[in-house]
Amino acid sequence: MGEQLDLLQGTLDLLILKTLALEANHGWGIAQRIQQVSGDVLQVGQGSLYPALHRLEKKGLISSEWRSTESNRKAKYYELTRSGRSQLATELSEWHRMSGAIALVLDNA
Amino acid sequence: MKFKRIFPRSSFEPELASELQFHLEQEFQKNLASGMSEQEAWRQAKISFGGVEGIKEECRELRFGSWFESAWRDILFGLRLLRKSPGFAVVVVAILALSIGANTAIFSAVNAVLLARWPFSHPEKIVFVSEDTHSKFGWSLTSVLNFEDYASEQQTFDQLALWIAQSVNLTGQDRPDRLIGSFVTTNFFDVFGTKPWMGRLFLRGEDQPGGPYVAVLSYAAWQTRFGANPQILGRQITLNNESYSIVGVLPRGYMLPFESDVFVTAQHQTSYQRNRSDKPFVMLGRVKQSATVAQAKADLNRIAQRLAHDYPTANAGIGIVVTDFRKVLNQSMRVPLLVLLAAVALVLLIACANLANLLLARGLQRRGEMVIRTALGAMRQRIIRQLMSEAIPIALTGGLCGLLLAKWLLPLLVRLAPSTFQDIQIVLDGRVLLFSSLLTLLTAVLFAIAPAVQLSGTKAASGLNSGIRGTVRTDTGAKVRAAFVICQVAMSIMLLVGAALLIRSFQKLMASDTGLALNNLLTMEYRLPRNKYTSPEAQAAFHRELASRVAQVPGVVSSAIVQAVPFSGNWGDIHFIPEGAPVPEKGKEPTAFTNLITPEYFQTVGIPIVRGRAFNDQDNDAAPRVAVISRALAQRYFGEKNPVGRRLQLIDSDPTDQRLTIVGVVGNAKQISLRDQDEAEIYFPYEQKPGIFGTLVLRTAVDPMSLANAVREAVWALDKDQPVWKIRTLQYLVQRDVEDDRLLVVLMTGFGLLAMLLTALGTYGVLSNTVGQRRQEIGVRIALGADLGKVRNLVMRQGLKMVLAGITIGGIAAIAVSRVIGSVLYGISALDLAAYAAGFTVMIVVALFATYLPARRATRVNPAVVLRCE
Repeated sequence: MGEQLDLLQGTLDLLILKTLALEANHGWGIAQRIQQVSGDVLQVGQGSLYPALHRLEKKGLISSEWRSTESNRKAKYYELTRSGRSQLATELSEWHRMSGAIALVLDNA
Repeated sequence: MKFKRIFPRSSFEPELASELQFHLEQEFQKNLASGMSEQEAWRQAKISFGGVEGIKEECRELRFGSWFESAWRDILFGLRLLRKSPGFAVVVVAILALSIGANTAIFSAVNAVLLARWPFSHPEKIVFVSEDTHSKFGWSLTSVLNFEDYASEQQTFDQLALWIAQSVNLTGQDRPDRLIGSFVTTNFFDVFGTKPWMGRLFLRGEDQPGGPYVAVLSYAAWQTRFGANPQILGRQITLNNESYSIVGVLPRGYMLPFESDVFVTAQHQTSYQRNRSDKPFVMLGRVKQSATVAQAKADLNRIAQRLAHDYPTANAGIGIVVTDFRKVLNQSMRVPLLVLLAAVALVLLIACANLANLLLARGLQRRGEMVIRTALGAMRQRIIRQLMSEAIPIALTGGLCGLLLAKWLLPLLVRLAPSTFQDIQIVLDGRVLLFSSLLTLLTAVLFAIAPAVQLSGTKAASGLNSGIRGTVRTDTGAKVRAAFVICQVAMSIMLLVGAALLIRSFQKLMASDTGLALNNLLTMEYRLPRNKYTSPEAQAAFHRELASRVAQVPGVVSSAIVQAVPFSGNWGDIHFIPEGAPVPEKGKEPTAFTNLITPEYFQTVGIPIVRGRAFNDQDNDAAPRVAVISRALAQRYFGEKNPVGRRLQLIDSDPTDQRLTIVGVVGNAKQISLRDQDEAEIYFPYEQKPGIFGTLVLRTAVDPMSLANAVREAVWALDKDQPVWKIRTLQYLVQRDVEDDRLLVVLMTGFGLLAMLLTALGTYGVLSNTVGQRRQEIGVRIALGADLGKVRNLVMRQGLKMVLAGITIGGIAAIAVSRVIGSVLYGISALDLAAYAAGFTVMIVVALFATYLPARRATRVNPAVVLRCE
């Protein structure tokens, strides 16, 4: 298992939004996906995940719906809303800008 | 926040649980797939999941972070909790309802009277002016010429005006009637800034001798006596046998200074004279915005000194006193109303203390629950919010009940109130409701959340050890609650002692001697129009004739006429010099009440003749001037010597009857109220002094009011246009005099009892709690063989210690504020021992009861049960 990193709240939100940009998913699925895509580096703890999901839903950036999974279990699926998509775009560009700046500092300092 | 989320979906909880459960199961599946055993897979899944409750809590928090949503949930939860302990809820609601409801109702009534908002700008600038520095009422009568000098020489007033009120006869309608008339100078309404509602008010110059006969009606009179006739302007009415034209109607609700039906210019007043010595009017005015009341007083004083210098006979010794008109009008009730207000405040405080105690105790009971919740991760803020939301439904219910109680109680109080207050619009005062509600609700909420606040220092573990089973060993709240009880007792003592003092005072008042034989006396007042009965002889003839005619009415034992019957609120007075006394300083001559009577008066009302004789038919206008004096006057000015045959000199305007011979001494009679101290009175026969005012007094063999109609017919047989009014028994007049006192006593006693009850409840509650908490200790003591009596005494001692401390503090406080109530008391001092003793005794008895019951419960503690729970 990789290390559990303490993800900043804002960063976690961004990761979730990005994950859902591709397709709707439930909480478990989102966690697994993030873990997968990051190569096991990022493991999202349930203690942060679910509060984050509820928070995002409350802000109206994602919406939820109960559907059946492939194995016929009922699970709560989340998907991006329109405002979620635009928020994601904004956050991504901001992220790129920030990380670019930090990289510059770290490279040159 | 989307609208649909205002009311939380009830499906939230199960959904959240399912969602997390799903995640758990998925993790379990994943672990299985990676080769763990079922057991291990579950265990690992659960471990990695962490604290489910914590996650749930946070989600809830986020979801329902909006105050409204979480408050709603908490309220529902709180209601469920309350259903489990209905007794507690009922008591709290009752306390809230009582303190909010009763307090608001009483305060509204008091407020309407005392703090009545007068509909003028800057009411503090409107003042009564008195030329008599010793006047008890803040006003005195002044002469027209003096007034004109003041008015023209003053520099600090916007307006100075004259006013006096008197009954006027209204004739020319189907029945002769009487109106209350106000005689004023033309600028009177400018003092108050009043504008007419219809027509006009008075014009400059209309109040000079020879001026027009114009009248202004009050709105109420226009409505009730003249049928709200829209064509009223220009109509003629006959007042005191003279024809006046109605030129205006005043706005609705205008009732100053005392309710008048009709306003007429000053020169029409019967006593209007253009000289210095006749003083028929009261002077009042509005001080300039740019001047202070003190400056106004100095200004007028300057003029007064000049007048005293220039006209020594009439104006000797005058000095100016200027009084806020509101103070004058509220005079008699001011202190009692303030006392009432204090009582209301005290009850409110006691109620709050009670609430605080109850809630603290309950909070303590739930300490275990609080500790567990903290251990499970609930944030303090969350707990506080939840407690608050539990308290709010009770508080709101209590407030609502209070409002309903107030609405119901107010009309009741208004009916109980002295008749003088019936006219004032008394409605529930919104400010008071708000104040009482805020105070009590705030208290309720504050003390409901106190346990959560207290919890901040408690470490979860230690709390769990001692707290869960509800047997808290260390009770830090106990001191606070004991302090509350002590305060409540102290406040109750103050109210109880106050009530006891008032009761004793009232008893003494009722027992005081009026000087008359009160039973079966009927009175009715009238005044003769001067232009019909122009000479004193004609007036006296009417009075004499009327008295003898009424004596013929079946059922009448004897009848007489007197100018101002005792307790009617009418009176006259005069300065005089007894013969042989050293000539006193001008303006400092002794005064006495005066009264005009027909010969049968003393016999009719039951005043004994102590020396000499009463008046008889020989004391007519041609005979030497005579007078009868009261015993008090005789004793004070003639000592032991017989005053009969001696003379009195009146300081009066009429030079012809300055010296009178005393022909008799009669017993004392109170003239104005039961509280009269000085009963010096001089009586004159109607024959020898002009008098258009008269009160018919008759003693009946049957119920007095049953003869009212017959007597009225006798009056109309003599003069069909002569109205009589104020038909009432003397008994009624005396009762009316003490109405204010009676009301005060009733209210104070009510408050005292209420306070005592609340305190008893509070004491009982606190002690019960203590017993409940110390059950273990008590159980152990009993198991070890302690005497049940000792156990009981233990509890009672604790209770009584609090009560005694409270009584001591309360007693000292009562003594400290006793001076305030002292001015209202009659016949006893504010430190009357009997009253204090009574108050203390009642409190102790009740306290004994309140402490005995929990003490008895303590003895019933079954050690086996209690110890086993440990």
